[in-house]
Amino acid sequence: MFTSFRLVLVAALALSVSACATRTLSTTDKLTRDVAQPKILLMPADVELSELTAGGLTELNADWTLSGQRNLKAALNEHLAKLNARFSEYQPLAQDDPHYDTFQQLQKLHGVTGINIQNYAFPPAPGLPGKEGKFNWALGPATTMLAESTDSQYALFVWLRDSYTSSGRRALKLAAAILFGVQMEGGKQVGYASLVDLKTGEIVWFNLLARESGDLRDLASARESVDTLLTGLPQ
Amino acid sequence: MKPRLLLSLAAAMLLAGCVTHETGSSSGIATVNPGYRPDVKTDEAGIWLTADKAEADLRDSANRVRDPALNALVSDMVCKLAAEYCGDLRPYVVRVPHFNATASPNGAISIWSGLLIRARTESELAAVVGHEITHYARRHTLARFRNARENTDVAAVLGLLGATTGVAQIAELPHVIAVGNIQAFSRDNERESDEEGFNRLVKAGYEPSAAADVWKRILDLKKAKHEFEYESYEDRTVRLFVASHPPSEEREKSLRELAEKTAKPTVPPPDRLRQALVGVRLDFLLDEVKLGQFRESKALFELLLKDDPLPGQIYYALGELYRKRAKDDDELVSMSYFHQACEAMGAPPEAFRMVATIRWRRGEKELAKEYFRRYLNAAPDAGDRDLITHYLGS
Repeated sequence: MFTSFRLVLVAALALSVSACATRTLSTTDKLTRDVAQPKILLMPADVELSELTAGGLTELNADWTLSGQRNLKAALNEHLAKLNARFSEYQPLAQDDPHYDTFQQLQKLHGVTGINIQNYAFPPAPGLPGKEGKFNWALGPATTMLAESTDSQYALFVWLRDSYTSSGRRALKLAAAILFGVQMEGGKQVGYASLVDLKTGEIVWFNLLARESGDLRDLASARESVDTLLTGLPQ
Repeated sequence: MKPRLLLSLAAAMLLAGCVTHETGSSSGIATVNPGYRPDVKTDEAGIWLTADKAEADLRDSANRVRDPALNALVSDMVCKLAAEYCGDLRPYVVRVPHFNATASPNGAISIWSGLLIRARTESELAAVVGHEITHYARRHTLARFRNARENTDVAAVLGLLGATTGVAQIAELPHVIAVGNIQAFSRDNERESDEEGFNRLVKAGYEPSAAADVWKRILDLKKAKHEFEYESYEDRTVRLFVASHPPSEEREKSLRELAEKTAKPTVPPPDRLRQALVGVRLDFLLDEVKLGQFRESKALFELLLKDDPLPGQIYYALGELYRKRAKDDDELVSMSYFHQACEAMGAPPEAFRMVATIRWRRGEKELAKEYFRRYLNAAPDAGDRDLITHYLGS
């Protein structure tokens, strides 16, 4: 394929990404109130911060990732406190804990389910034939373990991948813009937040974030990212 | 496609001449020190972070083999091969029915079940593990990542310049060259691992010819799979250009030459592999059956039969191989293997049940009952005991 044509294609994709910061799929906009104030269990966030090299490789940065994790955690706590939500952070289990395996499996299952929702449930993806246009994804009855062991009604999962344009890539972008008038792909922030009803295992709210801005390396920017990510969280 | 490929091959050959190596290392990166952890500000720390995540997945995976005897053997072997890294390397046995092992930059080593049933001696297994330890010691993952980053960076710049000519081939060329360079670099890492892995093998007192022997086995099995040469010359050229590893033939030859120059160990090398596999090998053999690669599996099982102390397991696996293929007379062939299994050492109780159910289906009820009885004798606590008793009473 001709390189400049590929650049145009990348630029078109980049534009389509930046057009909207978040998109939501949900089955409800309110929490079920079997108890007066439902409690949300905040699951350990899966977050990675990388640098986009000039050649287009995504290079995971350990230093940024560690501070990103800290900032994200603080910002999530602040955001939920601001909403007056009742919530608690999941406490990691010891490997010999009888619930350890189920917990690990739920984390993995949510990871896979989240990827599939990202890939198949949002237009322009045509959607999976078996879903018939409905948003009905679930982790199954094993989530009751989380409900019972932590006395929570909901769990909030967060997955984020943040990449930043390296100086080499920035120079190359500039050159491409001058030579061909095209916009090469730069760093971006993609991820999702997902609210699971622990009684049924159903994912009741899923917010997809995809944009060419946002940062998690400092707390102020992380706050902005979390506010965007959790826009419209059922209350 | 063709002219473009030729052009890029020619260019790759020109560039290959420029690649220089520092003595003793194909990457120019220092060997890892015992107890090493990279500084969090480095690119290597990012690679380790990825490896740590993958290791946690591996550790919790249902596919990890937790058999104590087998884990004790691989841990001991790793420390024999690399005493200096004994505290840094963490071997995991995983149930993946293919011939492979991997080493992560953070010291996690995964040994696949398909390798464990293909290696015939502890020395052969040690040859592969020694190769993997070299990937760790020489920090090959970091080296490959840096090499890939440099090559793709250069390609991006040259590709952009090339695009100004308006000629597609010129714009594409740097990217093709980058792929060739990256893969050639990977093959150099593999050669280094073969060579240093061999040195570790010999130093630990294992059989020097084992490294070449294991590659010879893999080649023989591959030949059994493809009874005729199906690759055209062009396919082969492309494959050599993009391959991450040197061809198995080359690896066997170089390792054989090294072995011929090396004295045999003065004390016989330890060979605890078969004993360590007793509790899990049948599962591994049956995983092989599930791959659905009839020819290769059959060749493997027949090879193992030559001097195996537990042929009952292998006859049973051969029976399963035919039963699952279920072509023409396969059921009869499988039944004959199950019969052989029943009379051999190491027969799994299921072999008796297989004979019984096939006989039953064929209307040979008395013979079937005899084997159902033998099944219950061999497995008194069988979960299907009530069902079998019902058959026996009818």
